[in-house]
Amino acid sequence: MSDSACRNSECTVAQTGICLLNNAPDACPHRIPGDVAKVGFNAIQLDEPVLTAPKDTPRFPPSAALGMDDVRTIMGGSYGRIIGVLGAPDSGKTACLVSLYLLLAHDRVEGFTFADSKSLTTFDELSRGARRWHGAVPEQMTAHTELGDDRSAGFLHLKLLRQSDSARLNLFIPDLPGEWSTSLIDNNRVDRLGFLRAAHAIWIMVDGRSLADKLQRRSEIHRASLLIDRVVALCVPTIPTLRLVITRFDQGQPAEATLQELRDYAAQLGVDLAISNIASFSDAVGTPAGTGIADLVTQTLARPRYDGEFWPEGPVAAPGSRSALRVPVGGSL
Amino acid sequence: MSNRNLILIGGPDSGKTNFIARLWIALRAGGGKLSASGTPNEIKYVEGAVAHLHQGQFAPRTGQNLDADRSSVTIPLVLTEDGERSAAELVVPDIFGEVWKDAVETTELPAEWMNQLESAFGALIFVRVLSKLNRDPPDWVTSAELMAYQGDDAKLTDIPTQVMLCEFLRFLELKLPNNPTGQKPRVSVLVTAWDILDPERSIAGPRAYIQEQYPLFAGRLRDLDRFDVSVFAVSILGGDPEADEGFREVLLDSDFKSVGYVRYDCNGVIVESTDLTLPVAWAIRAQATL
Repeated sequence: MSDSACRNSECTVAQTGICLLNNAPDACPHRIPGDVAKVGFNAIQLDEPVLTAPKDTPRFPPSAALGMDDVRTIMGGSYGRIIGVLGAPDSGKTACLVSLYLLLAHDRVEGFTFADSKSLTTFDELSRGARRWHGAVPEQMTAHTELGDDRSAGFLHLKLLRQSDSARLNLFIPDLPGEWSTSLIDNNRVDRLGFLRAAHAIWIMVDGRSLADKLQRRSEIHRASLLIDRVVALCVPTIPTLRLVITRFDQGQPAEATLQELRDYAAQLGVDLAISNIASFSDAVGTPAGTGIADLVTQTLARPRYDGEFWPEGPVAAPGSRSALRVPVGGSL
Repeated sequence: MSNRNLILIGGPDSGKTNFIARLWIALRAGGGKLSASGTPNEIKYVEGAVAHLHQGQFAPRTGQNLDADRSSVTIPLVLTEDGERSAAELVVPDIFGEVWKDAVETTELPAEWMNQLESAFGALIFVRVLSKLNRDPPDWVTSAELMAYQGDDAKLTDIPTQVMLCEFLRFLELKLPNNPTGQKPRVSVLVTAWDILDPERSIAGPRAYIQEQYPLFAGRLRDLDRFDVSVFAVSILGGDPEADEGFREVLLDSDFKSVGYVRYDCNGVIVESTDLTLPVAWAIRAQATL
């Protein structure tokens, strides 16, 4: 074994005695003479750490989108409503959430004021265009988001104060890529959308421009009814309130016949399809940005109206059955 | 009464240093709810700011480069309550707004500040009227443009002030301990530079101002149940000597004891007091109610 070393980092002359360039080891121009190499090695202070330890700065948890675990924890402590938002890419899902956030930030949601958000930073970043789906969209709902993660499929939290009855309402709205809705329609991929069964309401977002456009109208109705099909099949037997949200209605208002067709379709499935029009951002004079969003929220969160019979006919409860004592909802003794 | 550490939170240019300087003058002068019972050993950084006020100027924004000669200031206090006097110490930490701005942006807070936060008795949150560094949330037009921008090098606009204020409250909710007595910690919100506000808003009072300017923060304040919160409008000198030469003349000739005021909402009425120690006295529970 030679005690020489080489400036070429790939040369193993020190271990093997064979020069990488097949020169005689003593004559190679790249060789570092043995004594110099030794001095170089000894000069390294062995007791000095090579890297300084990173400074451990304490952190607060981020106020980012919530994972399923976070939602379960919060819903364990207080009543919350999940609002599912589905729709093709570019149907206006994110714009709707951002517009709602901006309305709250300017105190312009009639009937409601902001009370809290556990995902305020994410709302704010979305509104400043700082969060996008980078490259590949996420495949699963996140369990727990970390700061610095790319935009992940998670829930945005909002706590609103309803002025009419001072109720504080916790909302969890999933921020999902449109591709999830596409694959729900095309592949019936339901594994990651199971939370919809527990939803209070589901918004199905459709671009008003396409629905009003002669060329795209049929295709848009077709896709929307398929989406309704899938959602009903996923949620049966307890189907949340379904609401068709027509976005960008400042740029295109679908004909009443078009809407009726979708209502009729849903009715065949036993679903009473509600319809809302919104303009999250507005290009049209006379339609302020955010039009329709306050109504959308108000109607979604309205207390259920009881339209049933006052004292429904039904099988008589067996004597001693506790259900015989139950007062029907909306009725009184 | 033992040590009552207060944590001071506010973004850059929110008026923390100037308030502490004016507070020190008020504590020395006595006559308020709190007064000083001696002079702390370490007072240099507060004195630096006091020197500016005494010459009819505001202390400039506190920069990181001043860090070397600054440390927290511990002021011995006498509390006067129901004719009884008791002693306490007010610990005013080294304050520096960039740290809090960075904390909102990165969720990181240097260990020394985190320790102060975790051991504080109460908190003061500062926001300054019409500061050049205040940021409004984007409107629909700018937001639509920002969202439509598809470049990779999207330049982030600043975090809106009200989002920052909401984050401060979240930090407090996470870290501020309950008082040793089991009572809720108190948080005083100080809206500083109140004197430069237009008369209409000024009359409406500090809570109305926050509701109008920072709806998210106002909503969050109403929703908090871990703390008791009071909102104070603060003018440390009662005017702006840098903009109004006449006022400066009057100020320089005054004894400084009666300049400035705090205002707060009390059962729907706006009350004014010349006792500039009130926001602190309330936060450390030296003042039971307002």
